[in-house]
Amino acid sequence: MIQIKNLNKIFHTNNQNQFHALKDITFNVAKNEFVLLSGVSGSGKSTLLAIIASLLKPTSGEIIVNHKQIAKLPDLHASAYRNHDIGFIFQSFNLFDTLSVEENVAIPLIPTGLKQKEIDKKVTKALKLANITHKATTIAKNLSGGEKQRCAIARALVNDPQIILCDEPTANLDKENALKFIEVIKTLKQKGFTILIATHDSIFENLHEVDRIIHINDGKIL
Amino acid sequence: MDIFLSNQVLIFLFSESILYLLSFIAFLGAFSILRKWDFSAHTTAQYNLEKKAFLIVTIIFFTLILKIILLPYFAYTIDKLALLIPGAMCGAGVISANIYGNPLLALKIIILFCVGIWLIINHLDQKAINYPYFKIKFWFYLFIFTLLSIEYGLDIAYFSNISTKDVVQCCSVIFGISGSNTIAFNLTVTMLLVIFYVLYSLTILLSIQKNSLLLFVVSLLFFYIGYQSVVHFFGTYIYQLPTHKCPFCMLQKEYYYVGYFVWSSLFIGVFFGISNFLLKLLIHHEEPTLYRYTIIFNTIFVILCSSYVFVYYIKNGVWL
Amino acid sequence: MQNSFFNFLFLLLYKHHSKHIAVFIVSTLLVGLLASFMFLSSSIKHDALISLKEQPDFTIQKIRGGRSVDIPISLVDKFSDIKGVSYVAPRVFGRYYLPDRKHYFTIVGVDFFDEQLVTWINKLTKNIDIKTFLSKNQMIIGNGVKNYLKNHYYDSYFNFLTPTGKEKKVYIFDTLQKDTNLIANDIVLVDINLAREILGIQEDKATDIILNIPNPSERTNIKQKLLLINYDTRIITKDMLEKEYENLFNYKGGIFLLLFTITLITFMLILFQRYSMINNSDKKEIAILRAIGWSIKDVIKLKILETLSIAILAFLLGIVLAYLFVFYANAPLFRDIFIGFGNLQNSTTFTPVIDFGMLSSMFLFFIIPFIASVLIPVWKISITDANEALK
Repeated sequence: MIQIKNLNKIFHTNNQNQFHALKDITFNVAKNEFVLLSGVSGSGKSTLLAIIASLLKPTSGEIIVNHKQIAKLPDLHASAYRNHDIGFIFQSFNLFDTLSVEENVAIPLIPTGLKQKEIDKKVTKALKLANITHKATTIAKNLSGGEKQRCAIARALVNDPQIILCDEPTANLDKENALKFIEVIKTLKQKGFTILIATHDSIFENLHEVDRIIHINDGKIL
Repeated sequence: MDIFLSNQVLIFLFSESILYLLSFIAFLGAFSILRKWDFSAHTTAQYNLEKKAFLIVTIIFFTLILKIILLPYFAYTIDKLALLIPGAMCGAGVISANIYGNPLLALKIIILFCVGIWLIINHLDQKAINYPYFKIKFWFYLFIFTLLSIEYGLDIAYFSNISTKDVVQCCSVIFGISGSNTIAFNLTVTMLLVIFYVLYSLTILLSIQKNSLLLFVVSLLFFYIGYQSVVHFFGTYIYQLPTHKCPFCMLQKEYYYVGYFVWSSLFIGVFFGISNFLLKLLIHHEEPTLYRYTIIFNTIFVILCSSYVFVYYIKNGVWL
Repeated sequence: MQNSFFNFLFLLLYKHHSKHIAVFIVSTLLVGLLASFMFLSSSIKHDALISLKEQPDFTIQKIRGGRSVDIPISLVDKFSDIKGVSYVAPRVFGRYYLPDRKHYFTIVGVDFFDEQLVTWINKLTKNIDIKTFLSKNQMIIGNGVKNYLKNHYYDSYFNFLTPTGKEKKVYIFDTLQKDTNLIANDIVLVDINLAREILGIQEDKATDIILNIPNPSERTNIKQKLLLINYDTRIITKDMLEKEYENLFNYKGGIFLLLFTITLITFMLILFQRYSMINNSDKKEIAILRAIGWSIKDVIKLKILETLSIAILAFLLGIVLAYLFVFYANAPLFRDIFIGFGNLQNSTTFTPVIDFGMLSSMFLFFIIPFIASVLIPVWKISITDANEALK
């Protein structure tokens, strides 16, 4: 499903300094695999995730997702890829606070040109999967931390992506909500999604659903 | 000072100036993009160039769309000017007020066709994964910009040389029996009509067969013959006067502005007719849906014109 | 366009309302100003041209030394003999300056035995009983005259001072209808001989002579014939008057539009500046959209629609306000620019004259610069990198 070869990412800061965030990364992820990217802050795992989601472009190297070359996509196709193939869950949720849950979840579908009825259908399905149907009409700013997270999950799922990427998903959650989050992830694994989670939270380490843990330090795979 | 002839002229020239400024900005941008574009590079410079391309394309898109809207407004401006120019009853007299008028109008129509082609190429380019028509798109825009520059110059030359004192010819003189715009090749009206309907049927046939080259040729002929037929035959039924032959008068309120519909359906139909051949020429690709639009708009045009004739006959029992 | 899209659009409009509200108000004012001007001028032009239709085809004045002097009535018979002329009549009229030497009445003498003239008069007032009117020195006055007389305590008559020094007492018979105010505000209608007395015109002379020539193609010929009969006459044709009116309106209109254009350009620059100020929360918003799958093209579309909604709403509101201002409130302050603050106070109402062409002109004049100004700012914010969402 995901093949990464010799991936490098160098950030150029303003004053001609360079920061070599990823150094020669190579690994593969098979379909329906649940992979953890483990490492401390600044190790490069978030950068790696961002590149897989095509939010960042690599400096060199190859990355093939679902037989598509991701590294060189022009914007129109990078965004289509992000829309259809990827579901991204952010550390800070990134919801629109003044919209309701179902309105938030519908946003990725707007540029696809689907009719309103179809949008509603997909939204309902995603809400169910993320276990947040009971809060569908609540305005986002009135949700608890865990509910916001599940709204973000629903939004990530709404366009039936094959790959779910999560960047430090439990960083802003308490223990109870973190566990609820894990329950949802377990369901997703059962349903056949490919899951990559970048985290340094130890709560994931002993999950038996996790197929593989990749340790990253200083931009290199250990 | 004669250029402040009317509100419409001021508004028209102001709009043209803004659009020209926008198109000039796009021209400069297009130039630098063409020089440095390299799709296979993944340097920051190339990605930034791609972003810049979005700006340039957006500017071009809006400028060209607004150009399309400005053409009927140009016709409206010309029509309103007839009140100020001695001897003119409609746009025909105004257009012939100086030597720039007719070339300006012809150029505007040509530009419109080019604009349409550009919009189609842009649409196709953005749909494909690797921007296959990117460079062609911009080179073609440079060509369009040259036309726009000439047009802008002609706009100013035309409007500043319209005199409110010299008498111009009215349409009955220009298009009448003694005028300079008689039917081409000395055809009779009947022959003209026969050729008209034959050409129309040919466009339908060729569209179904998807023969772009022949359709291109036939469409251009249809454009010319269609124009002649409207002026010398169908128009007389719109005005209900056998001697009133004029392409401009039908744009006026008294005829319910039907002129705009007649001419736009002809323009659009012909445009789609010639588009596939031009697309093949420029980007070696044709769009089958365009054939369908040719049929639709040519048919609207023919039905619109013919209905005036038949309605008249039904109402009055005789032909004009 | 789905409901979700509109929901989202309205959210953004509301969220950024502090940015949009200033633009909205200024746009509405600008459109309102432009529309008021265009409504007013087209309404006045319309009424003026209608009244112009009542004018005779030719007006003939006698010229001496470049100025018009009284014309001998004997010419009337000579003119009637010309083939193609359907009607000839002498006219007696002139300005009667009031004691302040600034304001004046327009004295119009009417020959009440001339049927054509009487039909014309009856258009301005209701049917008058000619016998009663002529029984003594009486006048029919316009509303401006009536107001002036009232303010100077003249209730039922006025004392005209003739050039010979005699005083002429003239009673008020009737007032013209209010809707004549545009052209007949300062008119005093009297019998033709009384007019001659007040204005000091001799019995065998008139101010000018009018002709009607029903067949338009004969007019040029007849004009030449008339000039042959009397080379010292000036002939004013109705066509010339129409063209002059048009030119006057266009000239005044042109000046206004020029000034307005300068305002528009300033507005464009302000717009450009305003929308170019992008703060971090705006950036984050766009970054989120890009991160969840919106392309730059989609974001540009959204942002342009956002600004366009403001423009269109402002346009519609501006038009409505201008309509109410001109046609219901009668355009206070504004009207003086057009009606001319020369003579007596005028209180006309305006007839609504709007057509699609005028609305499109205003729309184009406003929307094109608006769109042109926001294109670059919209693009600037749309290309926010998606990875901003991660921060």
